[in-house]
Amino acid sequence: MNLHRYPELVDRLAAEFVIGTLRGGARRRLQRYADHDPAIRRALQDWERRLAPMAELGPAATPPTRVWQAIEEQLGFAARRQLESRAAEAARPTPPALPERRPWFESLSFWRGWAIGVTALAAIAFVLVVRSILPLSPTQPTPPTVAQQPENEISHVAVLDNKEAQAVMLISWDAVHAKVKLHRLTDAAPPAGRSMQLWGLPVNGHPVSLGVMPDHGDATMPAGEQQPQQYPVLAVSIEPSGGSPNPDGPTGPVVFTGKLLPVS
Amino acid sequence: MQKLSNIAAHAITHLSMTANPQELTPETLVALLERVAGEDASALRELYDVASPKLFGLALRILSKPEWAEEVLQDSFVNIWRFAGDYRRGLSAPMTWMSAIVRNRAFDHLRRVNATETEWSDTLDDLVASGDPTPEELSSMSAEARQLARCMETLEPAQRQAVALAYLRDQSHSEIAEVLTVPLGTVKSWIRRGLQKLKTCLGGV
Repeated sequence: MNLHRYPELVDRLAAEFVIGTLRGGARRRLQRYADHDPAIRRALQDWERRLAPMAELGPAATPPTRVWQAIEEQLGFAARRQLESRAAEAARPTPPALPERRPWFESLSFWRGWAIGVTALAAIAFVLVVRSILPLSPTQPTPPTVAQQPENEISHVAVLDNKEAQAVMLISWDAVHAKVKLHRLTDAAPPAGRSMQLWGLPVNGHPVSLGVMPDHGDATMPAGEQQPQQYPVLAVSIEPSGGSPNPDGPTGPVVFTGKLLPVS
Repeated sequence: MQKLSNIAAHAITHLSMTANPQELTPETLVALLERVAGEDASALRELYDVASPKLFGLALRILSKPEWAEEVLQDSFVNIWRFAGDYRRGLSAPMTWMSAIVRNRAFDHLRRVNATETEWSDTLDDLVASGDPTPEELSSMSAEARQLARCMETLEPAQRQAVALAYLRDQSHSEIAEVLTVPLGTVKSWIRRGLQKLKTCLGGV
């Protein structure tokens, strides 16, 4: 059938196609004609344009806040948003720290975002320093034998800052020997009867414990199966003595964070 | 942390300011969509603040369950984020483009869920705005939507309902006949004549 002889029929079919009541074989047939016939395509487009604004008619309704949270989580830019709120915060004078209430201070996502922005420069500077001072490649006068593997194969470092953006800890990760080394830059110690716990924050999923730190001094902690590439950000939280009772994340406040960066 | 509560209060004030319907002009939305296309996350937030009530209202009209509408709204904004670069202002108003995304996502959702679960709870009159839109509503609509709203008003209420059920709920002639408890032939002629009347009213559009 030559539909061009029946322009009114084409128009009616196109209208019913767009509004959705043209179904089954008739719908598929018109679609097939449209694939080869610009006049039919145009009729369909005209009706699309006429009817599409119908979706705008009708009352508005405010969605619950969880919808935006889910969008943000799905698109993975909670960190970006937190960074912006940190910037807004930085534009104001620093409030005196009141110990009794610290909701944002305890928020992991806040620290995650903040750490990425604030620490990046410091960490890069540290990488440069660490590169020059750590024996990244063997410097022994004679080539090492198997028994003489270099003790350090630092692949990643992180400078952990406190909330005043002061560097308090240097974490260096030796992926070859599966060791995480803690070097304190200040005498940051947990409150009496509490422990500090190191966490890796993956891009997706819950924080993973990298070990409970000694209260003072430096330490080397086994990394086990953990790989530094999995954790763009490290964090330290204050936990009950011996570590967080929850294996999937801190229960106490997050006090230090820093970006974990590859050395080379 | 006193300052924090100040900041929160400021943020809330700011949000309610940006949710002003004046911000929903096509120009604002086009500018926001362009920033979203450039992967500006804060622009998506602004877009969400101004456009989500309208789009959520649409999702609620298409889907019978609020939790489905929430899922569809989430899905839609994820798609807006991903496809904002495909938006062409010459082809459709920004609100029309976003509404089409919501409608398509909602229809996909309807096809996925068991049809027997679907049960419309709201009144049919809510499907499309009836009566005179308030000045706020008018300012938040695209010119095309304002014109269509005016033309929809020229239809008989039954014609209007049948057209809206077909377009917004993806219902067939026989489903609409069942909902409106009228014979199948009546629905067919309501929709046919309704569409014809709309075309005449919309003129050279």
